[in-house]
Amino acid sequence: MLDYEEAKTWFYRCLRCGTCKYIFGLYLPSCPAGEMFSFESYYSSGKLWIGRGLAEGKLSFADPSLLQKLYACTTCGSCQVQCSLPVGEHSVDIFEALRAEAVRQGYGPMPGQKHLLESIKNYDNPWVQPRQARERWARGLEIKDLSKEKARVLYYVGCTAELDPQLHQIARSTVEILQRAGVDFGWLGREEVCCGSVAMRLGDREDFRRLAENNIERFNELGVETIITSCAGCYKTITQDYPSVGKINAEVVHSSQFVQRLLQQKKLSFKKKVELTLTYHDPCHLGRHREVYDEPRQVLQSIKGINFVEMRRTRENSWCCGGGGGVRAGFPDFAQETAILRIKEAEEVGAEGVVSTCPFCFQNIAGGIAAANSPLKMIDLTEIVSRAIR
Amino acid sequence: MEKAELARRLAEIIGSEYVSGDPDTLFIYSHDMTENEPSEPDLVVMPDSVEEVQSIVRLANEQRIPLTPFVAGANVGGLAIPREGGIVVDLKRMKRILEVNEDNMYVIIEPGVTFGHLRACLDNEHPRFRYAYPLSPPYTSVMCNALLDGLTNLSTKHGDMSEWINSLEVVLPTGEVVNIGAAAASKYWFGRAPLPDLAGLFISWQGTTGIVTKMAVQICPKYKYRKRMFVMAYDIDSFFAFVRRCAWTQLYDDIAGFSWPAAKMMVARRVKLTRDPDEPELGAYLDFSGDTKKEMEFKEAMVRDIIKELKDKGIELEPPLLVDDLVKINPDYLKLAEFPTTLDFLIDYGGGGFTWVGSYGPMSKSEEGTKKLFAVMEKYGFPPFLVTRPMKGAHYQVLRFIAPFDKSDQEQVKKVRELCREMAESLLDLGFIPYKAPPWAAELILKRADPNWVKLLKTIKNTLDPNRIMNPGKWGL
Ligand SMILES: Cc1cc2nc3c(=O)[nH]c(=O)nc-3n(C[C@H](O)[C@H](O)[C@H](O)COP(=O)(O)OP(=O)(O)OC[C@H]3O[C@@H](n4cnc5c(N)ncnc54)[C@H](O)[C@@H]3O)c2cc1C
Ligand code: SF4
Ligand code: SF4
Repeated sequence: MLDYEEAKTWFYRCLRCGTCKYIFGLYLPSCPAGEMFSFESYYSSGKLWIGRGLAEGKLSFADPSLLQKLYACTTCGSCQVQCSLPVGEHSVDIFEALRAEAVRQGYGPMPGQKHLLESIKNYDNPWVQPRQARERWARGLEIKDLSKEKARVLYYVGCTAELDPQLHQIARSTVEILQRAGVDFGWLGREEVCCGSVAMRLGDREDFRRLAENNIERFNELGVETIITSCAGCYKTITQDYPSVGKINAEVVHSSQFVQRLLQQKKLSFKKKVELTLTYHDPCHLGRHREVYDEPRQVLQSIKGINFVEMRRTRENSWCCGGGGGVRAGFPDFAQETAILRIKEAEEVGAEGVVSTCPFCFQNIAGGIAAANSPLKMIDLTEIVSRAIR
Repeated sequence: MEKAELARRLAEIIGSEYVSGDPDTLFIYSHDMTENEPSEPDLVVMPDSVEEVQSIVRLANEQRIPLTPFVAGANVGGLAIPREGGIVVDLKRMKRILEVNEDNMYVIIEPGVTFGHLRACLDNEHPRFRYAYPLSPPYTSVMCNALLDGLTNLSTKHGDMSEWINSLEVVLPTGEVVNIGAAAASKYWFGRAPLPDLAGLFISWQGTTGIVTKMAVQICPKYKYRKRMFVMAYDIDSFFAFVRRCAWTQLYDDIAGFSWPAAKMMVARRVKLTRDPDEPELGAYLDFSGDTKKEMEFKEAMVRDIIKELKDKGIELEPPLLVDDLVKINPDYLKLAEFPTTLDFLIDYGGGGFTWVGSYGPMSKSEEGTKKLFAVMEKYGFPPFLVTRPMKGAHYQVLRFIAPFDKSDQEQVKKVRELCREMAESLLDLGFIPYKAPPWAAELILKRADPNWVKLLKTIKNTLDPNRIMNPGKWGL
């Protein structure tokens, strides 16, 4: 996390050489924002140069067209991978610092994103849902309530998997896997609060801090050894952004990592064949931002019957699903077009389904599949795993 | 015409999403990485077809609005900065490789096709062929590079990149579309002879005579084997003696040289640049290729023989090192193994400023020019940073002196301006001519040039562009 003053020191470190626009060697587009909107100002370098304009007093956050450039970015970090200059190590942090300053000055985020921040303030989730709605997905399941009893593992479900009925299967599958493996775990039910990823990405640092402080304290009170997240965004936020707020006395893992560990420990084994040709979409928050590439692939590849195929842009060069950084709410067309490009890539390699490990990616790619009328299926890794262990 | 009305008319032509008057967009298109003064356009447009370009040009001509063509804006000379405002025509969306004609060895490209894309297309779909690549970032325009008389890793053998142009399609400043070269009279865009060579009306004119919308450039056979070798020299005279001797064999694809600051920046970024007197002052890299191992062995042996021959004359050089061996010592050398490449070490200076004075001139003056210009650079407190190569079988030489600088520091910007001016003057004194000349350098050239040449230049410009709409302010036009 950078503050605006720190970000300023990087504005003059980008030459606008353009190397971050494409994937070096593959020469396929890397930046969803640039691909969608074309003008120089939308690329990573554009935002860095906007920083210069702001620093020189030639541009202002009050200009709505400037905000559009700052927010029409999925914060996917693909430009970071392509830029081999030191500025490239910080690009997304710089964009987020610009957004935070826009919010601080009372201009950001975009109109279509403001309700997310309001909802987080009012309901502790971005989806304008009452707190008890968090429990709906778990009906009929027996899970320890960690506000009442102890367990070694906290399953931190995350707002999106909990509150979007389309995604309840992710949470249910995760529970099925944990139970099958005999893991001593529990959850927080209606007392779970948002990790703060959305607030952070949109630049509301104050609310992010409130949520982070609250969660850190709560996690530590629980005395758990491990926290599992279903959402790549929660995982990134807790492991990458929380350390600037406080320390969590537990290890934090993404469900894909935990499943891989259970396989290694032989606590889980795959009995059933899943005869599908599948590809894996790296969520930006799990892949590029946290470098978790291998575990989900290893899990998929150890399921019998799966014909695993890679897309052309994969791992650190993955094409973003288009949904992150507030884009799905702020720029739905941009989010959808970007997802459709990903879907085409999966179709090109003959996949029947796209597997991912992030409810946000799931939502956005599934939306793209519907819009493009594609025969592809969108599947979360945990769903495939739960099918194979039954 | 009011800006809003102009934007409306342009939106009718290309769609409103491809017309921008946003302050941030205008800010970005008014600058480049160099010390050249920024200047803001009124609007930026991104057409996608020849017809759209034609309609934009017609409208601009009718309304007398300046037009500045743009692709990546990485020309290192302020050439795509809209000196007199008006409309920047960003051609990045026109990025199609329209034809790869293997039998006649050319490709037809649009302006937005970059080196990276051409390379990927040839490697993936036409692996028997190669193009030539500069040291520029991979996503700069192949067409602009050729139009600017650029230089690449095959220029030692084949000359500057304008010589690779077979044919053009151009939208003239008055809106007509014209085919130039073989394209004017044949359906094959195979070359420029035997017609009066009108391509010269567009080459090195910096977009002041029209917008090129298609270009056929030559491609070459890709040989089975290729090697790159480095040879270090301890002083300027030994370096050029070696380079000249190798170039005269006319055996090598590329013989490029660089001075010690480049080598230092590559191995340890952002270090304080100082040279120990025992360290080499310049290094050369030689590229050679061939279809048989014997041919390669011969070319490699020839380098060793030349080093020995020069040693017998008292000229000391380090034994040659293959890039594969250098990579083992420092993986960063990989960046110089394959082109296009990313010279991140070279452009990461801090302050985001990068400029040069590049020039073509008599090979006979290379040593003198290098010594003189190194002294100028040192006088201004800049490390002596040179990239050089013999061109077209050693018929002329490139001397390019590079100065990364801090763009946020106005004092340094001022200093770099003075440095560049003095370097350009010194080069002109020696008979070199600055290439991709920024407006201030063009002014210096015009002052010294044959007045009748200048008169002819202006007559041609006025004939082609009577309303002076195309990239005004470049070449003093
Ligand atoms: C680090 C670095 C290294 C470089 N190394 C080299 C090198 O080794 N060799 C070399 O030759 N160059 C080099 N360059 C310079 C430059 O990148 C290339 O020449 C490049 O191809 C220019 O392309 P561009 O897309 O940036 O052109 P732009 O800067 O966008 O345009 C260049 C000029 O062409 C005009 N123009 C653009 N499109 C058209 C059109 N369709 N019709 C008519 N006029 C048009 C513009 O108005 C402008 O005057 C280097 C640059 C950098 C930053
Ligand atoms: S962000 Fe990095 S790669 Fe992109 S233009 Fe700037 S310096 Fe070049
Ligand atoms: S983070 Fe992603 S969308 Fe944003 S500028 Fe970088 S590559 Fe483009």
